[in-house]
Amino acid sequence: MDSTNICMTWDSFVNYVVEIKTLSDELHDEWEFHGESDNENSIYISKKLHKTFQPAAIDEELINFEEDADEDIPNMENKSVLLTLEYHVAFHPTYSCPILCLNAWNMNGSLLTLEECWQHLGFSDCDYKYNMLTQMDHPVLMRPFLTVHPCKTGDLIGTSFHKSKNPIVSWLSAVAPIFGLKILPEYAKLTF
Amino acid sequence: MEKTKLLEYFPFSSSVNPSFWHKLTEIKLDIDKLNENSRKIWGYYSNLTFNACKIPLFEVDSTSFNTECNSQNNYLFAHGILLNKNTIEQFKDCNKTELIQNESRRVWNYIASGEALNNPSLLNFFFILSFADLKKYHYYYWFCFPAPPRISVNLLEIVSINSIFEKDMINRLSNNYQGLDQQQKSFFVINNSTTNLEILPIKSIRTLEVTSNLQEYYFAFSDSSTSSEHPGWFARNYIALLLYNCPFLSEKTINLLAFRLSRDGNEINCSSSIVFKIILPKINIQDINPENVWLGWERNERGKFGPRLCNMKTSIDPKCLAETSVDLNLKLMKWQLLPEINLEKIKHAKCLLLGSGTLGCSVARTLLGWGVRNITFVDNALVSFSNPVRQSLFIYEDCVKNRSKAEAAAERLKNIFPGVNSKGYNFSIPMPGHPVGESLLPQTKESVQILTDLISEHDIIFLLMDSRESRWLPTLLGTYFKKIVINAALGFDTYLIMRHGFRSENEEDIVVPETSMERVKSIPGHKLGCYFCNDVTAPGNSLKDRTLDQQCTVTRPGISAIAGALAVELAVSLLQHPNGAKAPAHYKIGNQELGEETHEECILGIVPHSIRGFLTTYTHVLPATEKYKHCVACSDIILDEYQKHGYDFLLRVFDSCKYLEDLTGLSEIHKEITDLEVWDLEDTTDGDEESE
Ligand SMILES: [Zn+2]
Repeated sequence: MDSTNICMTWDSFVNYVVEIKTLSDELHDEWEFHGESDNENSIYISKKLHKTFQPAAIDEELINFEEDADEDIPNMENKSVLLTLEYHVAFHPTYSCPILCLNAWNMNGSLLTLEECWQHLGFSDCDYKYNMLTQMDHPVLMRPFLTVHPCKTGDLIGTSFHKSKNPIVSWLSAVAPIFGLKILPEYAKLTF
Repeated sequence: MEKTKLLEYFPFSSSVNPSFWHKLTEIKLDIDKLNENSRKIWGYYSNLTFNACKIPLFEVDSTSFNTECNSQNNYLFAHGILLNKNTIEQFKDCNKTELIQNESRRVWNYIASGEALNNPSLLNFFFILSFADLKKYHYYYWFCFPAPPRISVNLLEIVSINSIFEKDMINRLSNNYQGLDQQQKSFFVINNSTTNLEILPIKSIRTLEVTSNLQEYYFAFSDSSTSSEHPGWFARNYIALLLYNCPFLSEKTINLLAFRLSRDGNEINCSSSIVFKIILPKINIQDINPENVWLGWERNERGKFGPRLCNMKTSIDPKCLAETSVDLNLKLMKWQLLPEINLEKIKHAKCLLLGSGTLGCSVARTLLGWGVRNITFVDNALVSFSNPVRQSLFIYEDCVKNRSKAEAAAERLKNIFPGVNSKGYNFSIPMPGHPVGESLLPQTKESVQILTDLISEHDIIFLLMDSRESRWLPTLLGTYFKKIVINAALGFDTYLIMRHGFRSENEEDIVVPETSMERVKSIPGHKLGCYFCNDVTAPGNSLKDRTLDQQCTVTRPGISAIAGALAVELAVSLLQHPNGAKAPAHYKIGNQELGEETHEECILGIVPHSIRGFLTTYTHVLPATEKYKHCVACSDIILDEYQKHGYDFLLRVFDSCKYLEDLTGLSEIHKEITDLEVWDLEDTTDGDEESE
């Protein structure tokens, strides 16, 4: 097999993610499809997860804005603070392969740093974390996103998943769980 | 009998996607500018229990600003208003009571006009009061979900849907719900008078009569709450709608169905829904209109009624993004290859570049690559038309405008990387054997003062000038102030990069090198020579002698980039060496290559005393030479003299370089040497430490 690094074309990328989104809708798996109709290069899919953790410190500056409670809105003692993790699968034109990006943010929208993300994903003590997750510009949004380093993706798809009918599903099932995103086993039917 | 409880509602927790702030910034800068008009936005919530998330989330993101709502999956949408204020004072001082009254009138009108019966999603209403500080990228915001006050609902019982309907009924209900129009999903009615459960649109409540059998009806709503005791917040508006349209429901017991979805294998069903059996209160409908202040301001993270703040500087401010990316790039190198490297030491090293020509430009660029933040240029020349093609920081415009090289270089560095603190000083460095006339005395004194201050304030001094004499004063001062001094000089196809020896006055400074290797010797850092140590003439006559760096040097164009880069790499290696400038230098005797057997002296490898490159053969040699006790620039005699007489001493040297030779005893030596050979870098067999 000479296919050690199969380049995925843009068209096949779109076909694969449309398949994923269609099945996701059947499974209520909450993948979202993004893309502007007038710009076919803007297509990617995303999925959000939520995670609760310890509350963050409060900005002292805000205290003098606060008002006394004179209404009966119950304070439900929501001590847990929420973290949102959003995973994106987009197409990287340079590597000609799909990339997995992720961003994590607090409830106010402030992003976690690379180091904080490692911590939440449990990578802090892992020696090869640097090779796995780095910061790159999102190919569609052109903003920095934490990105699973794409240099091995082409290899992986070429050597391991070249027979897959949907290599993105095969690759995601192998890679995404490392970053806290489980792929439902039902997607396997797209690969054969 | 048990005392009846009042129904309480679980408020939303707002969750802002960073893309919302990105979009708001874009809109504020490009479209709204100073316009403070309110803007229609969308908010999203879900009645599907997300992977064990117990918090009723209310989300906004960049699509909140779209004209058409395009929520996907199991998200329900809410109609919202963004009230973005122009100043922090307006944000703080605006009348919150008036605000909520104004906004709650919208909801009230939807109820009163009957619009909400046709499109019940209108009851899902929120607004955000905000202020975007776009200088700091700080976003102050406060969510509000207006709902009528004083509706005391007695809670009788909470029942699981599973104990009311059969499993196949529940499945059918789940399926039918998925087929509902998005607008109708938030509030609807289920009727079980027939054998089939029937989902009716909310407007069907118009057909209810006093005589209707209320136990056959389930007033359902897509519930954001996951609490087993409390329905979600929008149920409040639902009850107001019911009471407004069906006043006869007062004091009646009704089924409030909190319609909740959960995943069961590959299916989504509504079996986690619960029914609140409640008694609706008897109210005067005018008691809940917006003239009575509605509720709904969200509590902040501390449980207080107050706004929240999001600091997005590091993820939106392009200057921050540039800094983070530059640092991250270096961190990746650290993480992947050099875990021991001290990047902070490099980042905070203050670098003084004497000379802003080919070498200066190349050195500055390489320093930027290493993440150095403080770079100062000194040069006395203006950018000339021949410069830009070889000197990478200049452009044609700089020549046309006759700009000072030091200042143009400093400014260009900031254009390349705004995070750098770069400065340019335009003055001449006084030189030995260049007598200072009466008229130039004040200027010379000032130049000496500025140079002295600059050298004492910086950590690494790069000597990158195009004349030999101008290196004398900075060599002396660099040694005197115990700085790292890196010297780079170019010939036509040769170059020299050298670190000057470290001046030591006490034993602690002396690092005795350990070397047990055969045919490798080493010189401790405090015994290493300077650029002038190998000379037996004082500088001042470079136009007569052949030297590497005489004025108008003609060099192969690639040399400056190579030499500049090597100068920085040597400086960085020295910074990473545990002994810094005191690091000893190893050199070989015999034919072996240095670096093969030597132990790594710092994490980046060896730290040679000098690097001489020859482009004709593409080779380097790494000689090390000892400090010369008669050196005209770094010897103790000179340093002592400078310490004692300071500027007066310097002035005498500027007047005559013969004075230097007399002082150091070189004049005596000259008498003994009949045939004076000037050390020349192109003569590679010179120097007893090398043996090629
Ligand atoms: Zn010397």
